[in-house]
Amino acid sequence: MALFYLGIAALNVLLFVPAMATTTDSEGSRIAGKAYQSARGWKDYSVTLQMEIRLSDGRSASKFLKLKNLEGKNDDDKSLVVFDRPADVKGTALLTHSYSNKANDQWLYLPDLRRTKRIVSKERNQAFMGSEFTYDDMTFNDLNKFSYKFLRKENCGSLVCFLVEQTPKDKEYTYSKVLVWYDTEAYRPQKSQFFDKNSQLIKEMERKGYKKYLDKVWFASEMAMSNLQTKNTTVIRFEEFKFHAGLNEKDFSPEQISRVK
Amino acid sequence: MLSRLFLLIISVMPHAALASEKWSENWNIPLGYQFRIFPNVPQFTEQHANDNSFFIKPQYKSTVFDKYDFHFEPYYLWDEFDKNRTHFDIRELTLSIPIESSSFGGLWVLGIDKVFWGVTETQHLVDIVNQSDTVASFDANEKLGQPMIRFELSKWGQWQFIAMTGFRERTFASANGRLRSPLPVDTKSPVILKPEDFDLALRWGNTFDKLDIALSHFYGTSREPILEIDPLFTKLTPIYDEINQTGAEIQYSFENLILKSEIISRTGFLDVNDFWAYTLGFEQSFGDFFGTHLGLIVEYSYDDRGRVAPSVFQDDYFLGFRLSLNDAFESNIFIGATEDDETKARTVSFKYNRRIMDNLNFSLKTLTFSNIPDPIVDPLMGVQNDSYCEIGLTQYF
Repeated sequence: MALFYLGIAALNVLLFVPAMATTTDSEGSRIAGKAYQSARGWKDYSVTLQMEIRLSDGRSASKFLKLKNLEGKNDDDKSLVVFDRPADVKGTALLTHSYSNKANDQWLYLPDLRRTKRIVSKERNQAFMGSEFTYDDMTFNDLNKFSYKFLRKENCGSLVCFLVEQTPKDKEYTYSKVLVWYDTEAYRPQKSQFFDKNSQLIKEMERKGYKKYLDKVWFASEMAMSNLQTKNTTVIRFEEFKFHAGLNEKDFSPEQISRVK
Repeated sequence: MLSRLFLLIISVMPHAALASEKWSENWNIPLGYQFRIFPNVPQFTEQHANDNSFFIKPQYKSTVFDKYDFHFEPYYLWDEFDKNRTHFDIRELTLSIPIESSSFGGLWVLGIDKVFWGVTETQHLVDIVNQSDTVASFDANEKLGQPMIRFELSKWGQWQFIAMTGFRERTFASANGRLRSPLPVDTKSPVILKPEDFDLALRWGNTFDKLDIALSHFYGTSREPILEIDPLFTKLTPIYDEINQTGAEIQYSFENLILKSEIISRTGFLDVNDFWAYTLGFEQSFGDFFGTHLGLIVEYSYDDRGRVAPSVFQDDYFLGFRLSLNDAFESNIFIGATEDDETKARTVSFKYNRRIMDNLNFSLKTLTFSNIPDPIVDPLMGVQNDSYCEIGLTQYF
């Protein structure tokens, strides 16, 4: 395990894709802004994750991890992922300090060596632990990274949704376009479609089991990502959300990550 | 003092057991099997050919009295031929006691523990607290547990104060083992120059945005023995000197690049232990590489002792690639080559790792030595016929 940390990546705020706009139409921006508000303001939480990777050839792999998040000013959040299973990575921890105005800081704790190591932060378009989720799919997205365009209202399951087209301002971004269905009830992203550089639909994500916490924020309890080209799917289930668990800056310092349970 | 420490920790163990409702969840037990293939005829007639070995390294973690951490990690390695390679060690047996304060963060750690210092990849010059378990891993990544009392303080950076006793001697392969020195090391009669078995270490580290700096000092018995040839040319006697070693670690990270350096200065009772050495280099990430992730490591190491240095890294370049296939089974490939700038002696290391099932890992390692020069002057001389391939399976319970 020692030298081989590259398959591991960080999860920040997993439950939420983009928001806010600068240009484009005001309705798209309004919806995205509302969605942003319904997913922020939690201060700190911890949650356990179960990730199930199903390959099209029938093979599967599952991973268990614990995630702790600390909300920061200007979306400069801190997150800590501790792996529990597979057993060979048990105790391995990944700490990320995200910044809106510079490169993230990232540290990896390798339990065998008792070594906390600063690492080059992962590419945004890399798969997370071999799943269908990339960094970009999972991490918190900066408000100003997209332009938003409201397309129409339409039914999404038992709800009615606003369909918003989100275009990244950075041409290097993994996708050329993301379509997001936000429900009209509470502006929760219900479904997303991801388009590659050739404007081909490549992936589709659904979020299920929304619950309201702290009387204001909505977190999904399940996210399912399907790759329409490879036919592989990954499902992430969240269990035991604990908000205001008393986490502070100290718990997210590189010196502490060896001790996190 | 050591025995008292043990008593304290042993007395806590039953509490640790009771405190845990889910006993099995606190355990992680890797059981490993390795088969090493040595394709070349051994250099010394008594040395063995291909061999089998097993290891077990159970890890137990729990919380006692609500806030103290208790960790226990014994280790046992069994080798088919090499008696020195077959050994038991306690890698960790600690009780951690946090000190609550609003103005600083403090932690006492009592027991046998492993402490890592350093930033570079090829060798760990600054890392001096624990002894290398060289028979468990030739690249010195396995360390023996060290009895200690440690205090850690977070205030104006990170401080570590360590008092150690129970000095651990380095492990060496037996006369019939592979990967040994030209003459076997007589591990039964080492010479330890320092009269009292008591060592001290101190480290301060801090981060200033993208810059990480650490300074450390160690006073005590050297972890690196001088190997002295006995008058009859039959064996090497390890001599452990009394030394002072000051170390510095400096690291700076850019977006896809981390610059790393370590430097040490050592003075000892023996003249040969007055020297300085450094390693510097960088780690570069190339991000997406045909759906995989590619990283490059380049390092250079220098040792003031030159050719008499017991270290392999005295004027050497290292080039390494790490490739993560980024599949569901997290397969990884590492290839690294070290070359001596002067003699061109070269070691090439290859490692492949993948998960076969959730609890079963497969690994393939090869280590090859080439261009090993004149017998007397190179620390790798004894291993020139010991290039090997290791197939490993590890099951986790």
